[in-house]
This record gives sequence, C-alpha cells and structure tokens, in this order.
Amino acid sequence: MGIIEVKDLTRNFSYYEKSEGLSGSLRNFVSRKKLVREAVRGVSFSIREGEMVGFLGPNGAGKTTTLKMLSGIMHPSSGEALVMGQVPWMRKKDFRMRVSIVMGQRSQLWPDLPALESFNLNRTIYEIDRKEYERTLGELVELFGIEELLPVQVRRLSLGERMKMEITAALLHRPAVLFLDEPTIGLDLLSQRAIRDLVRTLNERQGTTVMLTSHYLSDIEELCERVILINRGSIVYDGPLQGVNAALAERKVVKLIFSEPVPKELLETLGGLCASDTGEARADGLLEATFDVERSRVRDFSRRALGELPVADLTIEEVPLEEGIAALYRGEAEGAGRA
Amino acid sequence: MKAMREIAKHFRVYLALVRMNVMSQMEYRANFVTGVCMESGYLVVKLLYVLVAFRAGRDIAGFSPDEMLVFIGTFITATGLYAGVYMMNFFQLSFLVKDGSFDALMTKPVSLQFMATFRRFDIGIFLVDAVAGIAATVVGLSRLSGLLDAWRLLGYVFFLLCGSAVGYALYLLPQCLVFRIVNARALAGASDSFWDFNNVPMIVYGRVGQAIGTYILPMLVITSFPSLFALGRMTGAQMIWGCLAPIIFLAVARLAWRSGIRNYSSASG
Amino acid sequence: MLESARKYASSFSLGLRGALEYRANFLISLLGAVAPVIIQTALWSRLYAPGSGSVGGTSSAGAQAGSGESLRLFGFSYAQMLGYVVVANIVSRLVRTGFEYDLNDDIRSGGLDRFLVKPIDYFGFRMFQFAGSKSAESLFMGAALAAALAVLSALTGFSADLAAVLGFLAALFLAFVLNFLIFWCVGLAGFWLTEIGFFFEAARIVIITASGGIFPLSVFGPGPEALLRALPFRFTIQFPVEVLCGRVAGAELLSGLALAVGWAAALFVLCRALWAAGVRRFVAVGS
Repeated sequence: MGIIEVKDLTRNFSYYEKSEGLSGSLRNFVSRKKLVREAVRGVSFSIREGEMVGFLGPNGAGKTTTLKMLSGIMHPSSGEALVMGQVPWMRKKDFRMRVSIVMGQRSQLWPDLPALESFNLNRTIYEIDRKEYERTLGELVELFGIEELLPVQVRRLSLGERMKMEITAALLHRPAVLFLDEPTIGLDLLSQRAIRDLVRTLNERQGTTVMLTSHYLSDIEELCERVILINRGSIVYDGPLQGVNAALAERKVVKLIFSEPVPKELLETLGGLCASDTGEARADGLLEATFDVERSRVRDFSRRALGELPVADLTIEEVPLEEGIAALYRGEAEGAGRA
Repeated sequence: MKAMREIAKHFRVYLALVRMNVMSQMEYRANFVTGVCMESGYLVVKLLYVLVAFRAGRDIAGFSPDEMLVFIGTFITATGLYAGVYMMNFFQLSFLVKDGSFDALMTKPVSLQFMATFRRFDIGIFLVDAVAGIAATVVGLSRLSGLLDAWRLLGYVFFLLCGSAVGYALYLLPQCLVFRIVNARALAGASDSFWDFNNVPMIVYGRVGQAIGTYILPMLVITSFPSLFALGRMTGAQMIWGCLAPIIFLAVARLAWRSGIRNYSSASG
Repeated sequence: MLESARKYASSFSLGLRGALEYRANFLISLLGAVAPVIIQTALWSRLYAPGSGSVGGTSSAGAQAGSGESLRLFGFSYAQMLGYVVVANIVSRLVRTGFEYDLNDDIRSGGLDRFLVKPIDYFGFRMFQFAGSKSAESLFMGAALAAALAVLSALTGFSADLAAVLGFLAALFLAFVLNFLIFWCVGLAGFWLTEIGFFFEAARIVIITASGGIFPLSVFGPGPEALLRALPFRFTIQFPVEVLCGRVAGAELLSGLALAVGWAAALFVLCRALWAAGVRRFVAVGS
C-alpha cells in the first residue's frame, strides 16, 4: 500500500458563461448560463514511500487541481484518495502536521521580514521542539547554502532565492510528504537548476516522498525516475521517465527557409515533412517547410538538406510538449517500445 | 486535556503573529502611517457626534453630554479592537482567497478560522483608537462621578471584551459569503458601516430598535453594555445577556464558517 | 473628431457595463447608506424631543433656538434636519468616486505608460468612464431617493417643488463634476507618495465631512463653518441637498450654482497642472 493512493479521482467545475459587449452584459443581468468543466477525470495512481514522482502536463491539464485534492484543499467531485492512510480533504490535524505544500510563484513567507522570522512562526505552528528545530534548520541551511540569506527581507530576495526559502520553510517540520506545485516556474535557468538539486538531495538524504508538478520537461528529467503525464484531466502515461523522454525528447523539429521555391516532392524525399506549417504554397513549390526528425538523424538530415537544397535559414527546435503528449496518446511514441 | 493544549498553542501562535505584525509594520512604515491616517479620519467622524452632543446643549434620551462622552469613548476603544485586531482580516479575506494564500493556510495544522481572522494585527490603528477612546472615557467619567474602582474597571473590561467577541462573530458571518460571491469588498464596506450603530447609546433607537439591536443582531451590545456598566446603569438582565451573547454568537459564526469552507473546497473554480 | 468621440463613447460604455456587471456590489454599497440614516434619525429624534431639557452652560449660543414644536438646532427644524439626513446620505453615496484607486494602480504598476502612448486622453477616459458608471448608478439611486422622499413626505410633510427639483439636478450634475475633479487631484498623489490606499480613505472621510455629508456644516460652529463655506467641498453634498430640501432657492440658488461652476473651472486648471507635473515626474522616475 503506497503512501499516496488515488482511485478514480474526479473534479468538475461549474462556471457562468460571460457574454461579449454591452448587450451581453445586459442579458447577463437577467439570466446567466451555467457551464461545466471537467478538470480531473477518473485519475488513479499509487506512490510508494520515498518515491519522487513528476506530474507533467500542459497548462490546464489538471495537475494543480489534483495536487489541491491530495493536500486537502479541495474536495473531489467523486473518487477516493488516501495520503499516509488518511483522507486528505478531511484535513485532520495529524495529516496537516505531516504534509507540506509549496506553490510556485506564491509565497507563504512574510515579505517585509527576514525568512528566519517566518521559519520561527512555522516552528510554533508545527509545534517543533526548539532543539529539533535548530538541528533541522542547521541541516537545511547547510544543504541549501542559504546562510547569508537568512537575515535578508524576503521581498529583497531574488525569485530563486525566495523559492529556496519557501522550500526550507516547508521542510522544517520534516514532513513525510512534500507537494511541489510548479516550483521552478518563472525562475531563470540557474535558479531552476539549484532548486532541482535541492529537491533531489532532499529526497536522497531524508527519504521524503515528493510529488512535483511542472510543465517543464527538464524539471522532471532531472529529478524523477517516474513520470505521470496528464492531459485534459486524464492520465496519459504513468511509468519510467525513459518512456516519456523517448517520446518527447527523441524528436526534434527542423524548420527550413529557402531562398527560392522548392518543389514539394523533392522535400518529401527527405522524410518527415509536416503537412501543416508549410507557409505560402506557390505553384512552383514551397518557401518554408517544417520537418519532424528523430534526434539521432538530425545531423545527417541537416547535412543533406544544406547540401541539396537552397537553404537560407535552418533552425532546430524541441517538439512542443502538447504535441509530444498528443503523439504519446496516439501511441506513436517509439520510446514505448524501448525499455 | 487536548483542547487546553490546542488553546495554549493558538495563544502562542497569536503572540508570534502579533510580534511579526509589529515588526513588519515598523519595517514597511508607509503602511503604518497611512493606517494611522485612516483611523484618525474615522475618529474625526466619531468625535463629531461628541461635538453635536455638547453643542446642542440638550440631553439625548436621558444621557447628558458627559455621559455621551463615556459612550463614545468606549465606542472608540472598542473600534480599536475591531479595526486593529480583526476587521482588517475580514477585509482581506477575499484577496487571500484570490491569491492562493488561503489555500496554503488550509494545509497548516492550526485552526483555519483563527489564522484567517487573526493573522493581521494593526498596531497603529489599535493605538490611535485605544488612546483616544480611553482618554475620552476617562475625561467623561471624571466629569461625572469620578473614575472607576478596581471591580468596576474589571467589569468594564470584561464587558468590553465580551462585546468585542460578539462583534467578531457578527462580522464573521457575512464574510462567510466570501466563499460564495466573487467580489466581497463592497460587502465588507457595507457591513463596516453597521459598526457605527454604536456611535450613540442604544436607548436612542427606541424600545423595538434596542431589542433588535441587543438580542437579534446584537450590535449594540458591543459598546453600550460596557458603557452602561461603567455608568452604573446596567440591568441584571443585560448583564446576563452580556455574558451569554458572545458564547451563542461565536458558536453560530463558527458553524457559518465551517459551512463556508465546505462550500469553498467543494465549489471553487 | 469622430474618432475621439467614439473612443470616449466606449469609455462611457465601459463604465456603464462595469456598473451593471458589479450590480451586486453597488446594491450592497447602497445598503451601507441605511445605517447612518437610521443612526442619525434616531439621534436627532431624541435631541429634538420635547422635555429633553437643556443642559445649561455647555450649549453655545446660536445652536439652539426656540423650543417645543419650533425648536431649531444648528439652524434646522426637526423636519428639516430629517430631510437633510436622508438626502445627504443618499447624495454622498451617489457622488462617491472610486477611480482614484484605479488611477493610483495605473501609476503604481506602470500601466499608465499604456495611456500616455495611446491616442486617448487619460483624463477624458477616466471622466467618461466615471460618467458611464454614474449614469447607471443614478438610476438606482434615483429610485431609492424617490422612495425615501415619499416616506419622508408621509412622515414629516416634506415637499419639493419643480424649481427645487430642477435646481437639484443642476446642482447634482455640478456635484459630480466637482467630486470627479477633487478626487482626480487626490488620485494624483500617487505620483509623489508610495503606499496610499489608506490615505484615500482618510481623504474621502475628511472631504465628506467638510462637504456636510455627515452633519450639516453649521454643527461646527460659526467660525469653522465660515471657513468651510469658503471651500468647494460643500457643493458636492450640502449644496444640492439644501436645494432639494428647499432651504436654498431663488437668487441664492443661482449664485450658488455660479460659484460651483467657478470652482469647477478653478479645479480643472489645478487638475491639469498637477497632471502635467506628475507625468513629468513619472516619465523621469518611473513608477
């Protein structure tokens, strides 16, 4: 029995239709139409103690909603979940003492005071014995290298530093389960990396079960052996990282811009030509084309293209997350076959 | 006893919150200064009623201008508790919900109602009212029969605190609607205006008004009771009600709050 | 020219829509007028009640005149005071502004940049939006006022003739204009001060008091009253109220309106000057 057990969790939201313009507002004055959005649809999974699991999906996929249900903030519309053997939305004190949530771009620290003061408040709230607190704080400060930041007003810290403090604050009471909701969002690359290191070390050293949501693949890549991919409220993939990695990172998008039109048939011989994204289609050929190419083939492909075609510009990009997920969903991922 | 330990813990947490609030406001002084300005503005209006009482040169429902001064002074002190201790939290509740801080509070092992309604303490606002209110009350009392002895003072403070508890409960009730309607700032503003019912002694509202304001929506209990006690004009029935009302209304407010939270976590979107 | 008109019309419509959208908000703020009316009515009823006796010594000469039925306090009879209470409370809510917060937000967040570049005058934008929202609110308020006056008429024999009503509408229009200009200047404080949410509240309370929105200015005593009458504030509340209640009529009404117009012109100049100074600073310093 995992430390987190989720079965058929579902969550719907109802909202009112908003009409455009003055006549719309006047109409709404009288009566409004109610609509329903299914944010989470029958999600099920199980997480073992000490695991670090990544919850990946595009914006609006249902990641944050799921996390809110598991941390007790929201009731599901239907379904069950147990975290540390307790129903989260019952919000029992024992549950709240052992769980922790950090939400990206949202601060639980007091902005006008040094983080140390907020830590102290947490000490009182979580009833941490003073000696324990000093020890834990010392460990975390050393682990995260935040000694000099302690007496600095939180509002004066950079976003990355602030996030480190947020996570520290969340760990003072040594929670068994840590929920991280988009912890690296809005951070620069260096800070993102620092946060990832922090979380990894935490999981390794203290065995905290971590559930992390993000829409950056790199977050998950660096941290989690296991990935749950969610799209439009449903789980699309639940398994080792390599499977996803293969599907999403193994393909690249190559965009070519030509100095003169190239006949479509010639482009098709290269393989991987995307039907859409071909820009202006003229009778004598195309001026731009987009190709879906396997990562290992990119070099050969580029060499051939540059050699045989009048290429004016060549760019190589990542497959957008949504497309990768769609591909995965359609079962086109080659990685699924590899282990 | 587990309940006693929880209460003691919340008391400790409150002390920590007060300390952090004071430090915070000393750091970001602009907030402090403008809070003082605002409260001073409201103070002007309250004192206008004193001006009217003295300049009209007539009794108001049997209360002399000096007795009015005691009333209004008590009113001002109670406002210090209202605006400095709990009202700001109610005003900010909808912001808390909107920016997600409320969600974070839900996961902490302290009473959500406690954290949401007491997290902020405005020392500047509290002091402006406490100082002005106590001064006015003392001046009024000294012009009348003289100051209070220890027992009367204790009773005065007791009824003042009971009254504030009733005020807290009454103001919490409409805030529970925050969880159902989106823009609650106007609601907070409107319910705030009801606070001013205490600007005049409750007897002014006539028998029916008084009854409503004492037993059904006990706004008037908040300042009239301690003032009546200090002036030696409180009846036995009023004393009993003064002790019961806070218990009853805090219980009702608690139920409304829990219902609001259930609604929030089931319906938010 | 037509372009401008259309832009301002859409600002008007924006204000109107906003007022309709947040109708609940507005109705609730209307509810906030109920408390002061009840409190003050109760207070005055007690003060004017026969047999209250006068407390010698502390009353200043002039506050009280006559006794019994014809008792006048601060220059008002009982019926007149009640009329003042009801109308002043409604009018003070009607002329109320709120855009100074949005103005301040725009200054704070740097959103003002958007408007400095856009080919629409920010002042015009705010003014037409204000006009739009006030138009919607006036309908609600007008109904409330009519109902309140009907009750008042039944209880105290309050009546207003056509001249008074027309004069009131003119005075009310000027009150809108003046209040807009006054609070535009208040809102501009954001160019020079940093954290001013509370300052707006304090300013609003003091201005309402000086406008006769809580009690008529005569309660302050002859000296302070004279000073306050020299300021423009009374034209936002006290003046229109007294016109409707019939206390100001004929020549006095006309000269009052003229004076209000004069104040509007003077304040308009002040607004432009402050705006220019503020924008200079804004562009130089940033938000």
